[in-house]
Amino acid sequence: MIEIKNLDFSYKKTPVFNNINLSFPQGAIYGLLGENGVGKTTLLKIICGLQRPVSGSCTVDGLTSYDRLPEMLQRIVFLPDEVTLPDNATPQKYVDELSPFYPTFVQGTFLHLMQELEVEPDRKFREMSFGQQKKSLIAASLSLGTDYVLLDEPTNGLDIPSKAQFRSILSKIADEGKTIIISTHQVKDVENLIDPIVILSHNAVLLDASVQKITEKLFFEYGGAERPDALYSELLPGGYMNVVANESGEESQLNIEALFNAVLRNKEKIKELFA
Amino acid sequence: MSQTFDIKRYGRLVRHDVRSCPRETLYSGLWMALAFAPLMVLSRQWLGQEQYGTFYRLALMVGMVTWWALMIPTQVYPNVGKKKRGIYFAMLPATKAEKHASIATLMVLTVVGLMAIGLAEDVLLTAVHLPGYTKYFWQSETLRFLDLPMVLGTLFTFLTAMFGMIWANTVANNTLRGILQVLLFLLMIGGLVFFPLYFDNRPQGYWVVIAVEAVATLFLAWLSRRRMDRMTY
Repeated sequence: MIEIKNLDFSYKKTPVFNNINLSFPQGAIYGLLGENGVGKTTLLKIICGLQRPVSGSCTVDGLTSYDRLPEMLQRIVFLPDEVTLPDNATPQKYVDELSPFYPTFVQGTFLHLMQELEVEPDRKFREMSFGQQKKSLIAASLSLGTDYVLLDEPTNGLDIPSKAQFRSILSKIADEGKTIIISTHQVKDVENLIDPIVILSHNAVLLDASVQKITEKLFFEYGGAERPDALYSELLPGGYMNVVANESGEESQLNIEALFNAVLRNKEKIKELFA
Repeated sequence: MSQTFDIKRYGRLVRHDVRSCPRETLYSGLWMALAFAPLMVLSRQWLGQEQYGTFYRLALMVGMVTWWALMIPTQVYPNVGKKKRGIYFAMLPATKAEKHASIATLMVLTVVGLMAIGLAEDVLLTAVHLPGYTKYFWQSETLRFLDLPMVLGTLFTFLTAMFGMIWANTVANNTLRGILQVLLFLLMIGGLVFFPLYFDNRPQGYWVVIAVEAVATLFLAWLSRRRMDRMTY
């Protein structure tokens, strides 16, 4: 389990997190959402030990992240948004170099994922499009067999069929008990995939709840008129979509974009509802 | 396995770095370093010749060492000291001590490799009787570059190189602070090279050179290790 306790972090004089607490138990796909600059990538880096908290702690299975001990690094893989690849290498050579460090790596899984994502393992990175490079890296990262997979904007550069394949692959991996944390702006790409959802705001965690809890607390109404009590309303073809407090206990279909906007515009109300 | 240093993991890391380095270097200008190697080796002989003035000799040496210290690490480990690009190396499952040792090993191997190429070139040029070329390396019964001060000088250069690479991200920016850091870096290398030469013709010079270069080497090793320990991405 990843545990963050009373964590403070700042870049020189710019505070990013102020006393945040979060935990990521194993076996789920967490969605990490937030506006630009709130610290989504920074949080992933803190979890990996690439950034040092000012105070508080971040542990992965009880090991302090910043120590970056091999035992911890073998359990976690981080795929940043931007990766510099050796032009002359192929995805197969790339995993050949990485795999000796990961006893859980399975070559068959790598080849299977590459096939599913329709990328040739022996083609040079320099001959690939950005999307193909990204797919290769996703396949390589997932085939390492680590317990924790941290993905920063993983769907950037992927075409529409690849996004569907990506969702399908992640679902299978989560079923194997792995923990996946996805930081993204492209919420539509990961809708119906991420659960629980964590929304960050400046210095704080605004929401950390499962989809079930969210739909218990909030009601997503589609196709009606604009409601004055709505936490968020948006005009869609066929009428308004309203996000309101769920007082009747009725079930509804979660819309992550609407949830995100509702949370950002009603920070105090949301805290009260989910307290 | 040890949490600080495990020889198997270290070996695995060295193999990884050896495998991944040529790909980075071959296509980004290692050939320049290779071409420069004989010149650097030969400079050891030029520096001993009386007809060159002190200023010229020292300026050449400072230039060589600085160039070497900056060129080699950026070719062998182009990404380790960088914020975003360094993530791959930082996330490899090995301890910081093992990573530091692996970098040091490859720095040594690279510089030794370059010197070997320089030596081979020297032998070849001597064998073909190139006009004006008179066995720079093989002047005496023993290889001059195996003198202890020279070995330590070379070791100092490895460590300076490693230091330069690990601090590259800090010094390579255009702020006033960055420029001052580059100047400080150059002054430090220059000072450490000049200082032993001051004792060149004095009886105690041999041991002073050894002592200064050994201390400088240890200091730079400590600084670069400290940097690796504290680096964030």
